[in-house]
Amino acid sequence: MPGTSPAMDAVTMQPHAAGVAPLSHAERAFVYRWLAGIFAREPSLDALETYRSGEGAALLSQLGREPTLAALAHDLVTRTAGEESLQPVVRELAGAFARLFLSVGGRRSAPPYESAYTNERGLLFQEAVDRVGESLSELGLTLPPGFPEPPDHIAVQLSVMAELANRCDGLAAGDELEALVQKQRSFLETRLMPWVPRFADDCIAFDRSGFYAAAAESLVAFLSSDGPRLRQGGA
Amino acid sequence: MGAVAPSLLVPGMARAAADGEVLSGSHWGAFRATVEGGRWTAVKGWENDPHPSHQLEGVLDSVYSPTRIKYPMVRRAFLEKGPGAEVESRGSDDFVRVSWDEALDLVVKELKRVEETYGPTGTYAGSYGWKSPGKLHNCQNLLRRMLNLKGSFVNSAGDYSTGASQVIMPHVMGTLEVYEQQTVWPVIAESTELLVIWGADPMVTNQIGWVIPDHGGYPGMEAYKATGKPVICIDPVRSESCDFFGAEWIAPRPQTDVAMMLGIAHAMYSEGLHDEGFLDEYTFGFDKFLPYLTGESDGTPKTPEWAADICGVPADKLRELAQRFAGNRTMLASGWSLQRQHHGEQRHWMLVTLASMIGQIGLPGGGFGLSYHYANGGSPGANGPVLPGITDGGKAVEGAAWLTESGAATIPLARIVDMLENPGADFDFNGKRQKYPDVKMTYWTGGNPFAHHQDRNRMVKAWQKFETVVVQDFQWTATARHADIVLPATTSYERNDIEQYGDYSLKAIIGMRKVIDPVFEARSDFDIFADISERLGKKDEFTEGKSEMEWIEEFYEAALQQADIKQVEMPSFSDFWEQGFVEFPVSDAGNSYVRYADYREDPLLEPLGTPTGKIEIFSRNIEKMGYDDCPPHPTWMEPIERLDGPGAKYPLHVATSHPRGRLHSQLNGTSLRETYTIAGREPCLINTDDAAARGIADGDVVRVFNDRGQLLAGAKVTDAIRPGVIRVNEGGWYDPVEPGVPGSLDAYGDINCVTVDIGTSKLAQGNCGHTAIADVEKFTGDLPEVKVFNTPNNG
Repeated sequence: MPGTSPAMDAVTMQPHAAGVAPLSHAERAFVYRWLAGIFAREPSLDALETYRSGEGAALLSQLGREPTLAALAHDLVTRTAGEESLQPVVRELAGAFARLFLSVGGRRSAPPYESAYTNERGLLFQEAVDRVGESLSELGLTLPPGFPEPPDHIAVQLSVMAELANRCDGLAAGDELEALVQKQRSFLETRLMPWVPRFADDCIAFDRSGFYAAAAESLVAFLSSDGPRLRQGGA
Repeated sequence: MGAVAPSLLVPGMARAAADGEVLSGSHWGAFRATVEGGRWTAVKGWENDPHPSHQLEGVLDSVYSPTRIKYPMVRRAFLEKGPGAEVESRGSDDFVRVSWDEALDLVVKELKRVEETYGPTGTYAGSYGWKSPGKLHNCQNLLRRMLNLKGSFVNSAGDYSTGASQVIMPHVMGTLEVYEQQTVWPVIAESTELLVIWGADPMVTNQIGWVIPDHGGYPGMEAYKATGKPVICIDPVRSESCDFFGAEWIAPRPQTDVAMMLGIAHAMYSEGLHDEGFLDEYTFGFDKFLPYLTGESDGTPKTPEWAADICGVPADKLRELAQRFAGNRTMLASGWSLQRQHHGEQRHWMLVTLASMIGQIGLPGGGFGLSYHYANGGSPGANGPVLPGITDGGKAVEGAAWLTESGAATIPLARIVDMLENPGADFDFNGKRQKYPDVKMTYWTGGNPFAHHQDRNRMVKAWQKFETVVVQDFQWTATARHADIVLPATTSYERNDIEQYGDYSLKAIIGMRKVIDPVFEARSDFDIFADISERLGKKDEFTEGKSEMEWIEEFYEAALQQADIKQVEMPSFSDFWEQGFVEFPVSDAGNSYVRYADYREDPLLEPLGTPTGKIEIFSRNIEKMGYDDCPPHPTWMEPIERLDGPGAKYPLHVATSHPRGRLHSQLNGTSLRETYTIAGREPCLINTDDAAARGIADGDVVRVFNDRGQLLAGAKVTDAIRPGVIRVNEGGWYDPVEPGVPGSLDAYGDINCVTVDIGTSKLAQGNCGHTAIADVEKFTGDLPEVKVFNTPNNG
């Protein structure tokens, strides 16, 4: 892929015999970063215009061939099609983002935090914050000042997966690779999978824009495919 | 392609977060917060608090609630189309996140636009509500401090708690009365022979304080209970306090207390039980009131039989009360519910009159008290200093000494909807006639008028008159949802402050040390208003060049100077801040305080602050005002509507008492809700017979309705409420099924959907939150979900 990621090989995007698309670690890292970005902030005008550009369209076409990501890629293609200003789309998605993730929707929202889904009271800043914080410390990474969210935010958890996948890139088979893959399996199973499906259900139930419903659908599908993929040894 | 797949994380380590225990304070009490890895994980009452409130758990919840406002937000139509755009969509429109700079630029642009276009009365900043304690981050003073630097604004006078009483009492007693120390509990336990709790539930309401409560009322009440002396609770509900004391329960028809008191007074007078000596020496105007009592002036003797017809308490019972009140050392401890009703001024005036006839005012354990249920009145006081706090920097406007008039204009605060509906119209208030200003913008902080104001549907419509609404809060209250610009403030626990402990007792000063760092992009009220002032070119004037800690130290030093004069010991500021608190011992004078003992001892040297220097049973000042709804002596007048009253359209009175599990609307969004909701909604107490007649069973969802509005609630069928009365506590979050649509069914239980929005009278213009009659039915339609609380689907 262009930019920060190596090009995705369209051939390896074909469904695997076992039903799980084989993706390289670099490709997986890109997908995790992309999904993290979708849930981190409402899309900027810049981002939507990029999707509309030739380069962006090619990227969405590539991503769309990965079955788990088809819903989201298709939504973005449709949403950014045409010639009209994308500013109203930016505002609409900002409104939808705020309703779902910034508390505006009240009961009809989807707090994007593991904590919110793992205690009876639905409180934020519970133990999950510490657990993800530990993972970040191990990686020598932290959150930038411009992202004042707790570490159990969905975007941070996806970014941890992206970083771990990225560190596998270029490693030959061996203990180091095995350890990194094991870490991803463990993080996926203990951190993401216990709550993301319910979070996605809320996104699908309460999103009025359709965009975050599609994103949630792709998110769950991709995470569900990545477990088996990692159990198969990664890429 | 960085724009579509950015790397979120950056190299580095999170700042090491401290573990430990932090002492702080709140409206619910002082507490110690356990902090682990920078997270607040547990809360417990301060070890020196004799009766910590169970609500502290909700305080912790509120900080980490998903209802937090995280970022500055602007309503979408306002952002796209400007002020006044699609105001009917407030409450349902999208909000869009903006940066702090964008948000504050927008706020300042609006402040300037409104001032330039509409003049100084264009902005309403009578922002009212139970702001958090703390002498520096007093958001309402800070708001007005900023606005005084900008130009001017419309302010408000009074409050929703004691609107009627705090205006009439200065005419009657020469003081506010409602916010003052009471004859202390040790004296009550020693000397009172009969304690009458009239329209109050002190076991419930003393949990909270305007500053940090000392909860000294609880050991006080326990001490009285231990003596075994009698208590009478006069209340439509058999309250928690009634059960605690094992009290005799008398349940008159709500809103008829003046008639009931007149019946008792008549019995007292006709049996010669009243204290003529006291009336002669210490009061003015009993002779002018007497013809009304006897019926000489209006042809209606206010006999126990006459009273019984109105209040529903048998005449013999009223005679018995007259004998017991006069025959024992009796303390008439009244709550404020009585005066939060149409003609509310009359209730406490008549109570004072009755207490004057008993003649025990100023004697140990006798008389009357208007704050035993509030802020732990009667908790023995210390000889401690008084902490100053941040001021609004405005010049006081000449006016009645007990009313804070300031700004370009002032309205009695509960008349906000009248103001919005009738700009330019005349209104009366305590002897003055003024015109309602034409306001176009409001800036609200530290309050939630969509909870505390009456007649919600009328208000939703009137609110649309504002072109611009700015709300600064820490959570998405109903008011924030009806705003255009929403700014995230920190809770008290994400900033440093300092506050007094014990509203009346002043037993300690507590350093409200920051428990955790601000979450998301929340900022302290001081910082927000300092930044707005900077944009107005007035930052130095606003901050006076002082930081948060420098202000706190300055307040402490001022207290230290007072302490020196009083020869009370206080540590240096740095030692105090390290220790977290400084306590002041309760003095002998504090332990034996008897309200009005000085006046009784020497009425000439210690006159009251009334025109005659005496208790005014008749007020010439009020007589001069000539108000038809506030005559010059206590008078029974039919309220606009009441249970079994003339032409009553509905069969049930709605009691709207203070809840046990929250402070008005505060903490309704927390797990405390599990301690009281029924069918996920506000509880509606209903008498067994009333429920049976309507086919309502315990636990049913019911619809409470009248001409003004409708709400759902969960039925609690009980004999602990008088027939003909239901109770839904005030403060349930407004949760309209159709936001922005007047008349919408409220899904959760905001009782102000059915209350009356009129002034108590031309004198005080207080709110009438307890004036409402309605009906109730089992709800059989499609049940709308409660969606105001932000709790996700956890299985």
